[in-house]
Amino acid sequence: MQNILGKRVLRDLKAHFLRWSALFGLIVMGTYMIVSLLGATEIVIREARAHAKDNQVEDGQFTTFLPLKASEVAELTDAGITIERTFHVDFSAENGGTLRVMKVRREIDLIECDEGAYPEADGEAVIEKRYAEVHGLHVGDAVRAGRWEFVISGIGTVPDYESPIAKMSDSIVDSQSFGLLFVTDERYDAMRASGESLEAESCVYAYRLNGVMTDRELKEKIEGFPFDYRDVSDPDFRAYISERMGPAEDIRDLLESPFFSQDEEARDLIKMLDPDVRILTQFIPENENMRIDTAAADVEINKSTCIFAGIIVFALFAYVIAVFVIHEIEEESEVIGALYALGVTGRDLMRHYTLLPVLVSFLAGIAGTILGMSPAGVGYQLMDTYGYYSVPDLGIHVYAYILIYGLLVPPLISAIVNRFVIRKRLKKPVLELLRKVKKATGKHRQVDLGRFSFVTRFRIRQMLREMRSALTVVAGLFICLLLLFIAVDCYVMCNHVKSDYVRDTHYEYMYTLKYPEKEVPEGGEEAFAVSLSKESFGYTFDVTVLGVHEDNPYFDLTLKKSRKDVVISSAMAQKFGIGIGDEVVLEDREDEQLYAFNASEITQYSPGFFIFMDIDVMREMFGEDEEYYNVVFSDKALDIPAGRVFSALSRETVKRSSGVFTAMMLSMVYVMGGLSTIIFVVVMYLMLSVMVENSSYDIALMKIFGYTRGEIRKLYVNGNFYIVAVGTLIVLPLAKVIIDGLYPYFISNVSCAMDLSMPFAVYLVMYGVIIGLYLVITFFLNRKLDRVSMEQVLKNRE
Amino acid sequence: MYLEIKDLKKSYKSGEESVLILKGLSASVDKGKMCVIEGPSGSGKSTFLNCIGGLDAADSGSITVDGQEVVGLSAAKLSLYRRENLGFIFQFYNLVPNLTVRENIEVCRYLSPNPLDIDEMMESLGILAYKNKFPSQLSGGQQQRCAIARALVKNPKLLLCDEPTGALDSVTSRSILMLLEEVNRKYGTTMLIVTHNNAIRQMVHQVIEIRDGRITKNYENEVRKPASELEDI
Repeated sequence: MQNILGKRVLRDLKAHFLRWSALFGLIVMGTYMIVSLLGATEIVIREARAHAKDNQVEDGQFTTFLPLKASEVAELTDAGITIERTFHVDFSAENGGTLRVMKVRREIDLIECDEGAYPEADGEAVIEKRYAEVHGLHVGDAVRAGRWEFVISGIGTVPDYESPIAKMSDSIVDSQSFGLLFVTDERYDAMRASGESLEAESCVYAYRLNGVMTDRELKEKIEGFPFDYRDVSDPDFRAYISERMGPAEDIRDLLESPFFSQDEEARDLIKMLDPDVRILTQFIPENENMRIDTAAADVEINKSTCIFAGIIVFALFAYVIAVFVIHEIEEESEVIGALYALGVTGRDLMRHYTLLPVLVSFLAGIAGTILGMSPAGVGYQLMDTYGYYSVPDLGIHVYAYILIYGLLVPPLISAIVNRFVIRKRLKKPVLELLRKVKKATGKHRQVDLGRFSFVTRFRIRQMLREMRSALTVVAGLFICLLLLFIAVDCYVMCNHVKSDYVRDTHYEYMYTLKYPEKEVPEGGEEAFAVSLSKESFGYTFDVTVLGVHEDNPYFDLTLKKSRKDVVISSAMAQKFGIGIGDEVVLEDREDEQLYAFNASEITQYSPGFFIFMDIDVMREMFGEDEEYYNVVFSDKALDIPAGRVFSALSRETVKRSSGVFTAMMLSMVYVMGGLSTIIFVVVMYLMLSVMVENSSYDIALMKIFGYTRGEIRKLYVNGNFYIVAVGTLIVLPLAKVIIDGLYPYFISNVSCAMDLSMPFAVYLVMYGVIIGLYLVITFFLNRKLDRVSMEQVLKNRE
Repeated sequence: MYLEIKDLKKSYKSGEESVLILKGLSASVDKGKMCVIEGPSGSGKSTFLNCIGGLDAADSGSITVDGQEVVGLSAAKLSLYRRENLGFIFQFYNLVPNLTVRENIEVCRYLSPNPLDIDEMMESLGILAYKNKFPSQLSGGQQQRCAIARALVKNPKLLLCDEPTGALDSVTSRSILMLLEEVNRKYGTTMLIVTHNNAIRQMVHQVIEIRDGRITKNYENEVRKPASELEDI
């Protein structure tokens, strides 16, 4: 029997070729989208980590005031720790940005060149991949750092700068302004010695523990190394210490004279007078490093999202197919009844009616998977990663579970959904099938519509009758809007970053000082910043506690003289979901201390995670003297010795870097927007078509009675307008709310404000576009209405 | 003459061949008369009815209804012709399944500028009690009454009935025929009834018999038998 029934399948396919082609296309597109995203995610997770491992990614890094002594390094290496000096000096690049110059690494965080090779001659350098790409640099090109010129010998990446950000607190990669340059040892030493760098050399060491001790044990060991602040030759540091100690420095010198050399009390006094300066300025284990393993971490969430979204999308497609199969079953009711009467089993018929949906889904799954795994799929999706993170060329890899997912999930879901939906139809009594009994289903029968006009009542009855297709239209719209809002929210957030960062930055310059002068520079507004951290979704973020005067011109704040009640920035409130009155706990990882605050107010400030408090209260709280400050805001450039400045942030830099995300995400918005629109249009057209087909007999009857095309449209098609109009009113905000709710998970590792609010006009435009698309689609339904023949009614006779 | 047909021809393509179904039919029916069109299967009676109803286009000839020529009208004008002049009653009722009895009748009332009163119509056809029922909740006879009400509510000039009792048992068939008789008397509606049922010919004013695409008999009953007295329905 199956063989005979099977012959119909091809004929069915031929008879409804356009419809099946559209469904095939939808599934291909869905599979392509899911497989390519999933494939790219898996490649980034597995391959980026594998490359990092091959390149001896560090277990952590620490920064010291002074280079460790050879004996201290030996002590660590003798204990089994591998240590690599990853010292760096920053120089101005030709475009006004910064190039961080380092030596070629030998044991840890090795450079992987995608092109070219390590520098061999003195004037050669490997340039970091993202910087090279953004600036259109190739092997053999010249690049300048300060007055030093190099020929690019290679383009590569290092695992400790996967997110090539200049400072750990930077929230956005901006390869336009920052890159790395790896040079020969000789050239590095010459550059450092020139004293022309933007800042003093940073003494950064990368380490690998090799299983011999923990991060904490290593940290304690380093902290135990003897350190005399007087060994630091940096003149700015020396000046700073003198200013802080004042006459105490002279007393200390006196106590160190031979006269007091045997005096125990003098030694105690010296200890008391020594400034609190430690050798270790920073200690960051790998899992807390905002530059390492960020590409994989960024896409990790995609994996579960893709698998879940794929199932929903395929279920929608399967249901669309099921609606057509049901229509076919209803059309063939007498045939099915006759076949039952002749002894054909329900199982045979079930197999027959699910064969084509499963076959089409399977073939579309194959096509979608092949496309998804191709350079046009996975390769295209990887561009997002390559466009932001500094990772080596990861290649294209095929993973068994993605292959199985792409090949099996579409037909499997199609089989399940179709079996579930069709079963009831095939279980009708044989006589009912033979007589093609059309029932107004029970639920819809008793609706009293007496008070409405005839046309309205007719439309409502029609809507109730076609509820299945109507709900599929709305469900399709909902899923498309979910997809669309993933992209739209991303764009909205980036756009907010772009505009709000600049709007909320009222200062022209923000100087973070290593060694603040005693007097606040003229024209500057003093502030005191302490960097603490807060965890969210397993990621650690820097939060700046900023002590300012309430009347400062750069922040609009109402501060209390309280250690507990603080004002938090809007960025922080959005990112961590903090409301007024909530407790905010921050951690000082260095000192292993927790600080609890109460958010008494939220102020509009998007450029960073900030807690604002009164500067005097804060000085007292953190044990600093009454005049201490380490940050200066100003409305013009200030004359502060470069050696005292840790970093200087200008409003211009904020403006430039805040636009990076928007430009990067635009293509994703177009792709997602395009895909969701296509899915919406195809699903809606197919469903509206099936509504017309389901009513074709009645439409033929109406034609016989003398109804015009316009009147038939009004009765059978235009009623759907209300479904789409009301459905959109419901699902548009619902989809936005759901995606907004999920967004913190999607960007759980991104350190920036998360303002997802859109102007009301955008909702109106989206609503208008949906209604516009609906009207265009219904226009094409006219042809379908014209094709309905009166013959079917006339032939319904003995 | 209210309905006048002259030399009506209609052919269908069957493969590469053209088959002539109506071979030059001419007939006329006076206003307010009930006329039966009889004939065996394949004789062309339904095609004849469909041409009169503007559902099928004749190849040549002429059909005039109340002075209006039907042959040669465009699809849009044919639609208007049906809307303004005709009522249809089918063998299998063709009620819209998801509309109530009242709403099914309203489908045609909506088309008429001067419709009859629905409640009165339902009352006289004995279906007022079922006005809020759906077709699937009615018997065959009740459904056909509903179909008749639907056809009559717009007060058509010509009522075309295609095997109106074909799906009904004899008792119900008789009641439907009595109803048509009553409608004809009460509203003066001109009716064309296509049927296999020989008994019906006795109750109508005029009988047209078609065989092989030609009118073989066309006569008026001198004495009509009321539907209630018909035998072997």
